[in-house]
Amino acid sequence: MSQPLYATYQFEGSKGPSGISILLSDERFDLPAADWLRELHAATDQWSQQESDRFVRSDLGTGPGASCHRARIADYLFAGGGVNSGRLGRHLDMLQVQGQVHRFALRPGGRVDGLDLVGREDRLARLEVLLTNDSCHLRAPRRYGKTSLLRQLEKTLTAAGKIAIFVDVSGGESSPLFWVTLAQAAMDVPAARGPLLTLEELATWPPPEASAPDKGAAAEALEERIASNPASFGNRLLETLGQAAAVLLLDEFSVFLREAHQSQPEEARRLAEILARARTGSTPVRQVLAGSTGLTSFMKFRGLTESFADLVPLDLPPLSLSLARMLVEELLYGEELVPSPAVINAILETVGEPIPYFLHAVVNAVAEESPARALLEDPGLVARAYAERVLGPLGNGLFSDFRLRERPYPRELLPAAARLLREFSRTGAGLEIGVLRDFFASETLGISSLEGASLETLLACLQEDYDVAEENGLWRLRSKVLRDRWALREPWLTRGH
Amino acid sequence: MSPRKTTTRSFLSHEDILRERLPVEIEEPERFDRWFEPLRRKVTIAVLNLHREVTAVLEDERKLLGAEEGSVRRAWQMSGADAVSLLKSAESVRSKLARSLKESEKSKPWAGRLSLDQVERKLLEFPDLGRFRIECDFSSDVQRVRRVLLGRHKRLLLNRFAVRNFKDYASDLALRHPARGHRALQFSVLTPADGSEIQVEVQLMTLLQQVWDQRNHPLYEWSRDGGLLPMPLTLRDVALAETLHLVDEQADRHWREFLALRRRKIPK
Repeated sequence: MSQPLYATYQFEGSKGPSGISILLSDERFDLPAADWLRELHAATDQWSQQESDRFVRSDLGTGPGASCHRARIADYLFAGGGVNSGRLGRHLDMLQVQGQVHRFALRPGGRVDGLDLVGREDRLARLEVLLTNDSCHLRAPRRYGKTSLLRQLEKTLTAAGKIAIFVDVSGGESSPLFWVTLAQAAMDVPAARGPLLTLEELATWPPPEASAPDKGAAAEALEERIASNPASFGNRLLETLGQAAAVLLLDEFSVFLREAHQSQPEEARRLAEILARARTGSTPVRQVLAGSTGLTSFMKFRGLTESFADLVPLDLPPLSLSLARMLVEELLYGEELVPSPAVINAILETVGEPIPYFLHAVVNAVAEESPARALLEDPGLVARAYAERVLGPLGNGLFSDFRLRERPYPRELLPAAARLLREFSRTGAGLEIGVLRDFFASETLGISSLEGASLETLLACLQEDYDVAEENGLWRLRSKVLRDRWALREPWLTRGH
Repeated sequence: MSPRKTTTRSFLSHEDILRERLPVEIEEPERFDRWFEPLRRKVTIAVLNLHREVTAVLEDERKLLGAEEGSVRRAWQMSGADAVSLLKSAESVRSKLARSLKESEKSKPWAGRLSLDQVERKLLEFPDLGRFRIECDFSSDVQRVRRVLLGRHKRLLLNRFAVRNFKDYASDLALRHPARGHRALQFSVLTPADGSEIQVEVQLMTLLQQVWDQRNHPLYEWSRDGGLLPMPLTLRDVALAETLHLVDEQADRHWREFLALRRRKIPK
């Protein structure tokens, strides 16, 4: 029945008076509240001193301050009871700039958007600028957040009054299917629909609110109609979109190109040329082609470079360590868990290269392994959660995208792919190209039907699909989580046949 | 600037007084706020420490009371003096400082600007930089809490913290100003906080008096600062305040009668 007390810090934010009120009691901690208050004072002092004219007024009351974000002391404590001044400062920054504290959502495997999409702000801004005069090849391996970034770009461009069409082209392994997929997506964008209805093939296309079977039937009919001359339809479709100043955001383009080229190389080449002409014509259709770094190598080895030479490459790197630390903290506190610095460090070490997808996955494993509202003091918990819920059978779903047998590689190349990945999983340091060449040769010895497939082509695919990267002359599987799971040699994941 | 006659200066507004007497660097309200903030933070520490100590003791006492009465009731609760904040606002501090400077000029002629140290010393003399209330169900609860916290001599709180300025506005006739404020016991407690000693004011009153004060406080402030209230309004307001006091007394009697009745009816 003891009276709740709130420490309140108020200041003038960019959107008016703002502040935070922190409830100073939590049954999980048995520490003098005055110690917390001193540390909270110190943290807010430190924050206010970052800008000379900033002034933070403190208060202590039996209720929260007016117009203040409400928090609990556990939101700003480490498990040992010390104040997490970095997090408090970060939240004060959010209040200062956005007028609210953003709560990050834990999404192991899901797409993130809005303020959850961290560390990509500069790339988003760069893309916006770049698209005024150019088109772009957005490069990053699987699960780095390309889709999330494209979706965010779609929102940003739409909000700016532009026509942005997001299309996942991974399923359209043929040229007609590619155009149908693109037309289908474009017809669902209200601003693009009007101009496209002038095309004879799309004149009777069902409205966006039509049922799925109706839309499916229209897509099938379109595929049939353009089957004899898909290029003609593609050209007119792009020309119309160019006149409307539309921007195409083509997700999974590298997967599409590889699959399309494998089944019908000439048709894929022609399609690439049509897309290239549309980018450089008098009314250009700006395009963002999302795919791996390996796409560049693929284009090179398949002689497609010319069709993509105009694309400005833009890489999506792993997160910086400071951003990764921030994300780990926010996700854990968001689950009402109170971590120690040792637990946060253990998560970062477990994830290794801070790839957002695996970072969410490991934090989720820790959250599931912990009792509700737990104080996470023991870094051993991270190892247990990782072994049980990421490397163990409970984590199978996290790796389903990486099953080797589901990769569309030529059958003859699968043993070589399996061997290379196995060797990569043995060492985080990386392997020289000569060593890889020997492994490749031993796995492809005596196979006559390789049809020109080389180690380079395979590496291009592995870059795309497994985050294999070349750094300082050494090739490595960059993700520690992927290396760890691969090292278990589970047939369902690592065998190609 | 030359000293003016006291008679003329008594008409100066609070802001005028502060503009003349405060050091230049803190004469503006916003600059004063910034300068005052470190001291304000010490006050938060002091008031929190004291609040926690008092809370712990009163929690035990509540259990004892429950056992004695054979009832479960809240009996008392703690709150900020203005319902939320446990600190005097910077604006209030400035206003009180102006009143204090004005008052001191009656006995001592105007002596130029104060130094920052002098201002800080003056503020530390304030009995209520931090303050909280203990609002009780009945008048007898007020007395019980007083005994638990201060004992008989009213010099130390919880036998540790020095008590200053004990005032019984509830029953000390010399202190009763019928047109002003609630009936409360109040005192300040010298509370150590990070190298300073801060006075934290504790007010004990019944819930009814607390409600009365919430409603009546603007009238109190108005008349405290020299504002005039029409006589009929003053008379009716006094009558209301005194009636509430009687209600408190009577309710206390009823409660004790009820407890006695229940004790007789419930076989041990």
